Amino acid sequence: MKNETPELFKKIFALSVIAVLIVGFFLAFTEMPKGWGVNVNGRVSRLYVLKNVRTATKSLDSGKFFAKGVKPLRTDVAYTPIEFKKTANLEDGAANVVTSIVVDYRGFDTLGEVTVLFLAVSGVMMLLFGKRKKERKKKTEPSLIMYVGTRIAFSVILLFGIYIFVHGHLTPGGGFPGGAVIASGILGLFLGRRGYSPNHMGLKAFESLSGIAFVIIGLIGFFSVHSFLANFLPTGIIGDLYSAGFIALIYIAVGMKVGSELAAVVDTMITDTEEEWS
Amino acid sequence: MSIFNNAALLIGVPLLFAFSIPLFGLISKQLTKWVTLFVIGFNATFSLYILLAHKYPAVVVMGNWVPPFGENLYIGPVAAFLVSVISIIGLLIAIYNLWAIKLGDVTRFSVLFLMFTAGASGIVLTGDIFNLFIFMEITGISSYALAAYGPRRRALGGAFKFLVVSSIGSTLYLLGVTLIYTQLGTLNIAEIAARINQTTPGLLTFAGILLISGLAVEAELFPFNGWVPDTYTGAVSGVSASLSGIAAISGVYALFRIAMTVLGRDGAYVFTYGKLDLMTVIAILATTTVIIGELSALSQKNVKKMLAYSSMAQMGLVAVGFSIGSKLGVYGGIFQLVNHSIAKSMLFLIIGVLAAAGLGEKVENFRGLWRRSPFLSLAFTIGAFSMLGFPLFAGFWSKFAIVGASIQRGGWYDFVIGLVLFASIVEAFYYLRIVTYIFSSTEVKAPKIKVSLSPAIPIFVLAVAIIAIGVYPNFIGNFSMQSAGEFTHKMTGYVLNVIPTIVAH
Repeated sequence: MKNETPELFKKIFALSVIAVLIVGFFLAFTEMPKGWGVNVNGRVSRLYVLKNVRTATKSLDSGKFFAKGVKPLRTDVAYTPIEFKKTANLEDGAANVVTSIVVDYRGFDTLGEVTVLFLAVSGVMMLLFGKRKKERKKKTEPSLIMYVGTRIAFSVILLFGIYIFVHGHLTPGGGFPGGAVIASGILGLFLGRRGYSPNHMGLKAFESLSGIAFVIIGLIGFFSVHSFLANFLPTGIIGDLYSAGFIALIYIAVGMKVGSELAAVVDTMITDTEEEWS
Repeated sequence: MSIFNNAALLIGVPLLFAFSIPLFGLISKQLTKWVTLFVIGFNATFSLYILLAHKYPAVVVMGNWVPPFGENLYIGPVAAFLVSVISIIGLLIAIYNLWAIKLGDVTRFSVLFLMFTAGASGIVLTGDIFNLFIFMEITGISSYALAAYGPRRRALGGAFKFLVVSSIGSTLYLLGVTLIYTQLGTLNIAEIAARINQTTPGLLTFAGILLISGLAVEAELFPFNGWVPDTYTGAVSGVSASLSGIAAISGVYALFRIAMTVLGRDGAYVFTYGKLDLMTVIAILATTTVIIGELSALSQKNVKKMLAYSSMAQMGLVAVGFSIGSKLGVYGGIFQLVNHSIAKSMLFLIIGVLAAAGLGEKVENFRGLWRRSPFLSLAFTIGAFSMLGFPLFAGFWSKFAIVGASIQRGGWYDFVIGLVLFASIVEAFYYLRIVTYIFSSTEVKAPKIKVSLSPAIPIFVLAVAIIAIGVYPNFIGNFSMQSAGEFTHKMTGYVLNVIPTIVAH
């Protein structure tokens, strides 16, 4: 690595970062509201968005909710009222609110996170690309216990991972932990057997198809409810396996994607290949 | 609030195809580049349609949750204009890549390039401060990997530096987002912008500093730009072109969306809330960036490294234009940003073609290039003239506008006039040095350089665009002016278009 950045640059950069952090955290700790001051919810709800222009104007006139003099800036625009009973129903559908927020309210972020992982894995694969395997140096064979143990454990781990992401809307967990569990099972196989190599074609297909499935779920929402990543299924009753609308479907796609991707990156990093540039 | 949900396809379609490109790669590696080309082409067509059919301002509701409860994209004049520019430059670079990227893992390269372009458009489109972080990560991670692509892993050093600096930057940004969330309990940009004065001033200042320093990494401002020279020099030319042409646009956009819309206070000149005026801080950083960038570029013998430093300096100039804070200043900034993207990506593409023809990257190697390839020489000259702001080339109008804005503002901003002139003179020196080399009349024994069609198309289109903007600046200027209005009037330009019924603070 050729290093041509002047030393002064680096020092100024490091010093400025440290100075900003020290001063800032000092400020943050001294000025952070404490005790009763922390009532964020009160502040949020008091001056929140008015859901319906007509009722808002009424309550403003009677001085019911707001101080006199506080007025909506625009009253000429019709505003779709948000029906809280319907949304509450959805939050009931998923057993924990966090899941509902992560996958439904902010499903677009989750799609982004999945893409981030996908891109990171793609980057690693692009940099370590090569087909010819290097000769491995002599290493100790895994013992018989390891060999048998990992094969038995793998099936259990796989089932457990699937259980986690299928029940993502009912239990704390979901696609990401489920996928990581599955990938750890495959890592066990690598440790237990020398020269183990998973089915590359299968991994690639799995990875792509589960990603496509996520986007297609989003697109179904786009064509049926006319909003990307909108819930298009009934929310059902809390606690049922078939509930919480499309959250379960998305978590299954995410789980398969994360599992196959982490397995693929483990495979790329363990298998030593020569650089290929031809 | 007008709703235009179809624009979600600007993100959805690239994602769908990015996930399926590995499957196309099973059929043929070369096919994946065409898939990327067509998807970015779709984005370019669609965003141009939004821009020209005047579908903005509109809100794209995600997941059927009306803002501020869910996430939304906001297509204002800025987003419509910048997404078009990003997609068109991305499309041209994708055409260039058809010819340039033949070795190594082409499939993954196509995935990364597609998501790089889509992520940059996502940064410009999104209306949610955390979603902005996600798109920053998407653009960032794909650009580290793209920057490391190259023969014999010579680009790894620069890419690693970029990775470290940019990761620190996004961590700082995330900390800033957290602090704002503890204060206001919302992540929607429009709502934060409307209620920003309800936060504690000290905390707001700290959060602002964190956000600005995180975003300054992508916007290439001093002292967060140490990665620029190594990364640009090490990466293959197509990637350097897309870093300076695409990532820079989204970086500057994000920086000033936060500084002006979220933290800013409306007025004739935009200031920020809090104990410290962050616009002044950015102005100082940007001024330093211009001076350091230009002087470093002056001393370079390697053309690619020279272009990298020049890119740094130009981004500083853009930021100076924005930080003047008036409508004219922001207009100059956006105009300069677009001009820089067009000219600099063209210059990098030319360097790529020359490198493939066996010409070195040293300045002396350009001697007598006119005899070997008149087309490339002319294009390079056009790009160089635009960079240094020669009249009747694109760069002239934007530099002119920045000078005009600083005269209008007065005070210590008069200094900016000197700064722009200083930058132009230094640029004239080092760009014209190359141009003189190109047209010097030494006898050249080497054979003529043949430029095949696929790199020739983007270079030709960009060169024509520079001349067209230079002769008729009103077309781009109009859109820049509308965009400037969105930045300087945050309530009427942004907040009320997203959440019309929000209560005044």
